[in-house]
Amino acid sequence: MNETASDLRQAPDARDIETVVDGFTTDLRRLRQEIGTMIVGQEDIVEGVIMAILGGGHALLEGVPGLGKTMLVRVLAECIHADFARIQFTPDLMPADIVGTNVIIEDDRGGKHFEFQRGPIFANIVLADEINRATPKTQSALLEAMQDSSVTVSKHTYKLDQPFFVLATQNPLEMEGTYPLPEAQLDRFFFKLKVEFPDRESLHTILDRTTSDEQPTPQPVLDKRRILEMKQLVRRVPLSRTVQDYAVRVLQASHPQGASATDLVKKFVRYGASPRGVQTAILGAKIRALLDSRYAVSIDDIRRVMKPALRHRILLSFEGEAEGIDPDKIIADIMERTPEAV
Amino acid sequence: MADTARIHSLVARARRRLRLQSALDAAVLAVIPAAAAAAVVIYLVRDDVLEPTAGLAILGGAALVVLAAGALGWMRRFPTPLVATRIDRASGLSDRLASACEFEDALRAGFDGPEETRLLMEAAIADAVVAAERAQVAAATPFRWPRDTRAALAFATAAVAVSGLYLVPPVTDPSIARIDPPAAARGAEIELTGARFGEPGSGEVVFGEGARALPAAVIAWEETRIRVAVPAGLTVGPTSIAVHGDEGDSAAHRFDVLRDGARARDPNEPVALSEEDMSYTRDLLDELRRAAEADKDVELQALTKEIEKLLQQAERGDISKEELLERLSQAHDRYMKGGSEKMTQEAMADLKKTGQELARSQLAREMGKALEQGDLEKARQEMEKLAEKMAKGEIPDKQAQEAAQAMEKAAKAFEKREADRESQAEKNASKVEKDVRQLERKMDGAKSKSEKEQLGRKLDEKKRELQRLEREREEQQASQDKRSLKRLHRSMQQASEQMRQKSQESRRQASRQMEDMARETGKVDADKRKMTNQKRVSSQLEDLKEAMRRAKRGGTRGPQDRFGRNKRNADFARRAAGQRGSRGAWQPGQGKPGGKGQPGGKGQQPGGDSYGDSHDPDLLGDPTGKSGKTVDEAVSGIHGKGPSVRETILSAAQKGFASRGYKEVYARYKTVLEEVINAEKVPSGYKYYVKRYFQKIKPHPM
Repeated sequence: MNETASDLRQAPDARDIETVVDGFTTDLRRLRQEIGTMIVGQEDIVEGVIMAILGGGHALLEGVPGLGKTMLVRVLAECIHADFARIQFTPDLMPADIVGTNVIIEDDRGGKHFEFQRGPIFANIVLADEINRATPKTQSALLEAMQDSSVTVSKHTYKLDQPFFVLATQNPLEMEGTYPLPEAQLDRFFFKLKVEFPDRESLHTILDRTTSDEQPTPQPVLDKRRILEMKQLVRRVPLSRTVQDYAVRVLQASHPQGASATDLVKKFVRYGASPRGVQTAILGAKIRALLDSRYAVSIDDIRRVMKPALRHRILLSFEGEAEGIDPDKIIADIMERTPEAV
Repeated sequence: MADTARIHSLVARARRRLRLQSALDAAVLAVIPAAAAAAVVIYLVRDDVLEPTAGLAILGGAALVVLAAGALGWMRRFPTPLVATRIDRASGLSDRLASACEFEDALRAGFDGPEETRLLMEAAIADAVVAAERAQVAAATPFRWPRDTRAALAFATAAVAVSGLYLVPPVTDPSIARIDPPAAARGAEIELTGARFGEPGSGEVVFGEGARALPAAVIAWEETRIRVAVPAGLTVGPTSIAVHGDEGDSAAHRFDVLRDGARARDPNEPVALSEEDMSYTRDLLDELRRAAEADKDVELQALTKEIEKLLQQAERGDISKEELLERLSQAHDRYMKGGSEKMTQEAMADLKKTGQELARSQLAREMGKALEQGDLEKARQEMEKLAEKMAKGEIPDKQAQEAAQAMEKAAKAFEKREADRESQAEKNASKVEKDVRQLERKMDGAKSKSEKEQLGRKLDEKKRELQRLEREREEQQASQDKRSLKRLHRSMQQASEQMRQKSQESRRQASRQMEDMARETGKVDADKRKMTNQKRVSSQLEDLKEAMRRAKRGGTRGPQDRFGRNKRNADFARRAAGQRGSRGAWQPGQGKPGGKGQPGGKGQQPGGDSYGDSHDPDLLGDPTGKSGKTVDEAVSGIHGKGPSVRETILSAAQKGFASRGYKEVYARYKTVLEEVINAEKVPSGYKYYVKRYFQKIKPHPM
């Protein structure tokens, strides 16, 4: 706590905490606005990505090509003044291509020694494009970095710079020749966000902006230090037992073996969401509460983030896969059938 | 920390409203039993069973129950988070109140988390106090009608109605609703169902009336059910049964005492054909249908259709099995009417003789030979050919004369035979008539009783013979064959006369006569065919009736299958058709221990003065059961030798009952079987099994 010599340390009363929360809200709104100058019609995705960063996790974006995923990450990196790297995943991509490798360096005196050449993973924001195209071996190299924020190359462990945020994308259409992420690896992602096709209004705006002369350039609005502070504040937001209980009950209802499982769950789900799902949901809900200038989390906040937090953690049964059931539908059904207070 | 009094007062108000609703629900629920109790009490007080003071006390108690239920409802706990969440939800406060209440408790209890969290909690509480202004308690806790209002109202109304009504005193006489079975042998157990039989031992069950009344031994006695044994002292036949109780007697009901060992049967139970019987029946019908089609016998086709319809009706349960058998017999008789075997045989014999005569002439040789061999169809064709030739004048005179001679001879011979037969029949009849008259005279003069009886029997015999002879004569006159035959020979006679004259005109006449001959031959032929079919149908129908009778014996559940025979048979058929059988069907059966023996009757009844006129229905009886002391042992095969299961199944499927060789053998055996069954007098019960066996091993289509 001491090393984050923040405003919070000097805030002795409630009036100051109000200013802190106001500052958080204003900063986040500005960030959203700035990204909005470049990215149109994807407010939910932008919000989800910001939540994932502030919650200390990584996001998986699913959407067809050309919806501005790469653009979103680049703008985000510029807005928070962070390093940015992009890795295009292909079947022949090797782990060393991501984390880096030792190369022989010849010095002035003619001696040779190994020197570690950092891979693209050494950045604050990493875009792992089409992550499911790489082999599991390469995927797990990335996932180790995501989990531990460090990479190990021949007995030497390198710490990654904070904040470290991976945004992986996945194309839902072309499944030929892909290696779908195993459930355990999917579980590592804070949120799974679905990038929808923009509506008519947004398409007009996109066209106006991209086909005219002037190209807007995003301005940095936050720095890395501020991001870390905000991450700290998020974890301090209080949460009543009633609200937490609601989240827990929703999680329990997603397990077909549980007593509170709904019919849809019993029929189509093989295995319910992991506890990580509800952890991310609560962190997301805390950010939502702050964004709404509230000091405590409400059930509605939980509801807002349940789908991105759980949709990749619910394992459908064979029947569910065969019927093409959308996990979102199951989550919506669970939330509808779970009473707010008992 | 902000002052949360406002929040707490809101929560308390909401809680009061919730408790009130809960108290109301509970009280309304309690009204139901209370009203029911009140109705009973009022009734008892009116009936003087209960003192009015005691009744009032109980009514007071009922009111107290309602109040107590209301109080219990009020006591129900409504935790603060639950109430606060309700207000938050109804007022759109984003859980501010519920969170504030919890945070307040946490802070009071000494929160030891991060400082920032504490500050945020306090801020949240302050925020909630401001938001409390927007709270809508009434919307969060709306009042509604209790769930059980309608039921409670109904009970209360009923109680009021009872208190204002006069009720008739209850009936106390016992009454019998059902006797099961309605007929049984002496010593058998029967069950009476009804009402108000009273306590065990408070009454008795009496068979018969007046001086011959016999009380029955009671096995079990309940308020609505009595089991008794039919007394051994009863006589076989209808009697009555009644329950005599403390409070009165029931009306007497009819009861039939059966002979010892007999069991009552419901005549209206459906036929219930087993699957096997069905396929057997279907096979028989198929055979009939094929015969009808082959011979173009319209009558037989109609018969087949009718039988099919009857069977369908029986299956659906539209007609009882008795009716089915009755109507099968009727259909059978209708078909068999007209034509007798004896007549047809006689006609064939006559035609044979005529054929022999005709075969002597060159022209009519073919025709004659056909007649001699009984091939009437060919004979008819020959006659037509001859008629045609005759009409065209293609026949040399010499041949015509020769043929005419033969034909005349044949016709004359026939006439002579016919006359002989008639005179013989008359002679027979007059002889029997004379005998009858003689016997009648002797009867009048008979002295002893035994002599008279003996003569009487003889007389009856002669009278029956006379009747038979008369019937035969009538039949002969009415017979289609006989008439055709006569016409045939008359035409032959005329044709021969015409042929002798050489004019073209007379030849044409002769040709016409020959056409008539051909027509009449065709009629005899059709009759003969019908006769054959009738014979076949008769046997088939007997089989069908036998199957029905067997099905009937089996009752509603089909024939008894004590040894799993049906199951095995079905399995056998499946395997024979090349499908997989079921292993379970071949497991050894489970022997049933024998039933308890019944003591013999007393033999009170004197022997009757007449012969019995029916058979013992249980003559065939059940198959001998195992004693129950045997131990079943599953036999297991030896591994290593013999074909594998797969080979066995495959060879059964490939060769099985579908091979050509098998078909040939089957056809040979079946022919022998049919000959034997038709020639010998085989009891229909045996015939049924033999035929069914052959039906089962019938080759299956490839």
